[in-house]
Amino acid sequence: MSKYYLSGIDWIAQALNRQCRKTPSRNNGFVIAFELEGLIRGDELRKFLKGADAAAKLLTGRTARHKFHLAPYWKCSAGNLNIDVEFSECPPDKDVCLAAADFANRPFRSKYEHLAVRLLARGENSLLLFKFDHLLFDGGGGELFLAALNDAAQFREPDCTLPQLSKWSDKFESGRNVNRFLRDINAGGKRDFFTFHAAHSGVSAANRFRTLHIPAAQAQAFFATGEEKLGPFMDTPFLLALIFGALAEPATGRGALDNDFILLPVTVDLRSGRDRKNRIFFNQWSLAPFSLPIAAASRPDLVVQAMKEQFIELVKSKFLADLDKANLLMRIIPLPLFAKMSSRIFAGTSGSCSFAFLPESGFKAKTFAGRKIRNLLHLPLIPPKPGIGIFINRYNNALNIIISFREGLISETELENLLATLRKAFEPVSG
Amino acid sequence: METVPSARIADILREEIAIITGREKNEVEPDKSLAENGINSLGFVELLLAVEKHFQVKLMENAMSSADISSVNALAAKIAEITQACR
Repeated sequence: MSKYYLSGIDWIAQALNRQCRKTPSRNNGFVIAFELEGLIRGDELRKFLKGADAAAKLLTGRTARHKFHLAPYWKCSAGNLNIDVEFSECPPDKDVCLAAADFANRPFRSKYEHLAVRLLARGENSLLLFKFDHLLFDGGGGELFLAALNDAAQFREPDCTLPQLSKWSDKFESGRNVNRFLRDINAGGKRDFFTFHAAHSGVSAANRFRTLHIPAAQAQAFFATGEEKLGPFMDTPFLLALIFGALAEPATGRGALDNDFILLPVTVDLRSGRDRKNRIFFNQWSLAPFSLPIAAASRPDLVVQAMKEQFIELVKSKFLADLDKANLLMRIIPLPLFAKMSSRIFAGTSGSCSFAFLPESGFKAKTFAGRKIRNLLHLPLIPPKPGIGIFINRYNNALNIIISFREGLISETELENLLATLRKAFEPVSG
Repeated sequence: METVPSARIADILREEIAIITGREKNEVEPDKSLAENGINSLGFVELLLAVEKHFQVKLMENAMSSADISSVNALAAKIAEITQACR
């Protein structure tokens, strides 16, 4: 039976998963939602999902540890795949956020289950929701899995069958680099970071979502401005500058000081190049910290440049790869302890707000299960700390901005203001 | 700063793109855009750092447009233009 040893980032994903154990979902999964034209019959969907049988041994596996060296691995199973699929009806105007939250907050049926599906007949159209377990998939991998399913492609075996218990000095060096980088962010413990969760104990709070759809023309105009200011391939820093500016207002409203910092832990997809589409399973991302003092919000052009500079510095310092390598050492630490440690990942804090931008890259098809796709949204759960995340995915040149948050963490007024600020940034400039 | 012919620059760029994207050098197509050759934002910064190392050209500090990355050859021409101007 196959064994796939977990990477350092997989181990961080395991820790984040554990942090969600008291929440209704009991895990840290994510939902990919398809808004489809027309209705899908139940038997048709079940037949379509049969394509996943080719990945059954991974999809019915679980985490285990090696008896002697304790390296965690994914223990494949010979069990049959029995995907949890439910069908229901909802009003044509049912909000995707509500449907996705109902589904995302429900736990998987067992520790051997890592994928579940809900099909909602929404008037004459369909809302098809896939819930993925972050232990086996990341956002990019979820899209690639669905693309493979859609193309009736075979699933390739992942490539991580060695425990990577070698090159200790390299790993120690990576750990040292990570520590130095984080110490710089923290300025030797002198900085205060704004968090929403300061007055919120919600380790058991349910997850909620809010979305904002940005049509293609507005999104393209926004990124054209970004390219004018920062040059090509700088979409992420340009979006980060926007998020930073939008968070400054609620931070100030909650009494944060001008010299307090907003810290954005950013998930960066590390897939690139030829093998991209075969890197479906497990976690292929790293975490990048971006931070600036709240006072900077009054000078948006400086924020934009600062985000670009921090992005370049992160690549230069090789922080993203070092974080993965360094955590290979941490895998022997018991998960409850590691989960506690990683709830304070950056500079002693879990950050102000998580952020990820998933550019259109994994799922490019215009139809799914034979139906025209109106929209594709990513709705990730967020661990209780930081308790709020802003996630953006691009589909068909349009953007979906998702605010994922733990109930009670942020007020309705704050949410509305945050959405209004984000919406305004994409509005065409008149005159 | 040494002047390097555009064709030689394109050759080095193809080598670097191959390393970044995990391809063979001959799979990197000089007439295609960087994105079509598998470069994403992370890869782009890595490429610019490699350019800085090879040619002592800080592309980050020079204004770049979509036209400059419309193909590997176009980027090579941009680098050649900057090295020429710095002579």
